Amino acid sequence: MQVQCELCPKNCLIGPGQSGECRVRINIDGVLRTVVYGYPCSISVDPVEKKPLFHFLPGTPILSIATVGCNLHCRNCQNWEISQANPEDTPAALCPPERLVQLTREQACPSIAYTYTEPIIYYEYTYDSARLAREAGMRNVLVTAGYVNEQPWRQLLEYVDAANIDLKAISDEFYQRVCSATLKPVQDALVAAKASGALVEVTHLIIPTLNDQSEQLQQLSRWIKTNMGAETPLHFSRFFPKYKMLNLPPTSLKTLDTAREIAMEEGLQYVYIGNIRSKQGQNTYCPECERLLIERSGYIVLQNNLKDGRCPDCSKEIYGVWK
Amino acid sequence: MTRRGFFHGVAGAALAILLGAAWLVKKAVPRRFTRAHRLPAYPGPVRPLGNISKPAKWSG
Repeated sequence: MQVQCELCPKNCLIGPGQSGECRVRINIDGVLRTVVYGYPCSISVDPVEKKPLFHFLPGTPILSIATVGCNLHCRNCQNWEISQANPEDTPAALCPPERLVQLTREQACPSIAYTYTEPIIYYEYTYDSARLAREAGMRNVLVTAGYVNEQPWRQLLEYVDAANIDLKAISDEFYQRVCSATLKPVQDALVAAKASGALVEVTHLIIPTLNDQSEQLQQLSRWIKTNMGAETPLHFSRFFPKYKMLNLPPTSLKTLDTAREIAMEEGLQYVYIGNIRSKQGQNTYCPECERLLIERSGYIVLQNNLKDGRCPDCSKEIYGVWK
Repeated sequence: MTRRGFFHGVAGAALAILLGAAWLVKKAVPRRFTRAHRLPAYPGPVRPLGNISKPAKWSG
């Protein structure tokens, strides 16, 4: 008997003994089962800036986990060794939600990140862990491509304090050709996340020749400003050849700088450059008086001048979760 | 038109209306998400947790 998974817009119809496209939700005797619950293949303490999150508890450590699998198949995936792997072939450690919360406490982390691969596909593990973490006074962060159906997304958002969501392109054609997905559900997920009250930052990986044209970057920036607000932080990330996209060069610093200028000209207040050292592109400035608020070097916070979440000079409230 | 033909026409129209209404209802009501059940054992190799205090090599 077939079962239909309704977690993401792929809505996989799964035959007996088969898995959905994400590889980790399978049909056993007509029942949909998750094979990775409580079994992360990666668990580490990262700086929160690595997610990347620049407006959420700066300078703090975050316990970060992932299971194997992903519902997208991006040809340029930086983490393809675990996102495009089968659970049968990938070692994992036993770490049920209760143990995860205990480890977070032991490592003195104020928050947990569900990241690296795609937390949507290990949904039940993410949800149960997030609920327990919230009860223990910890915060929850999702790092996700946002390719998810509305109902499970809204349910999960109740326990999400911050999210970094990829907006990989502003064209459906890119999503289909490069990621085996579609654009509209991601845009809906972005808007819903912002509306839920979670702190949301957006990442856009710039790939030379595919999504680096000025018009596309203008359109993308305009969409974020119109639908999510000018205060939404946007990270332009540098592409490196990986996985099935080895024929393109890394993104140049000039392209990243230009992208940042375009986004700021469109009215976005906080625009960053990632995967590359850039003095201006990694710092937070007041959008009102341009005062340096947070200075960073890579993932390290060198100075934080915010006063109760406001600019110390002009008192403008700065979007973020600062304590 | 014969009486039989008339009733066939009415039945066909009624069926089309019902199918259309069902389609509209399906569109209006969001898909109901059901959680997957847990598989008690991991299908791959299980290893110890190891040292988790260092940053991961993965992006994100």
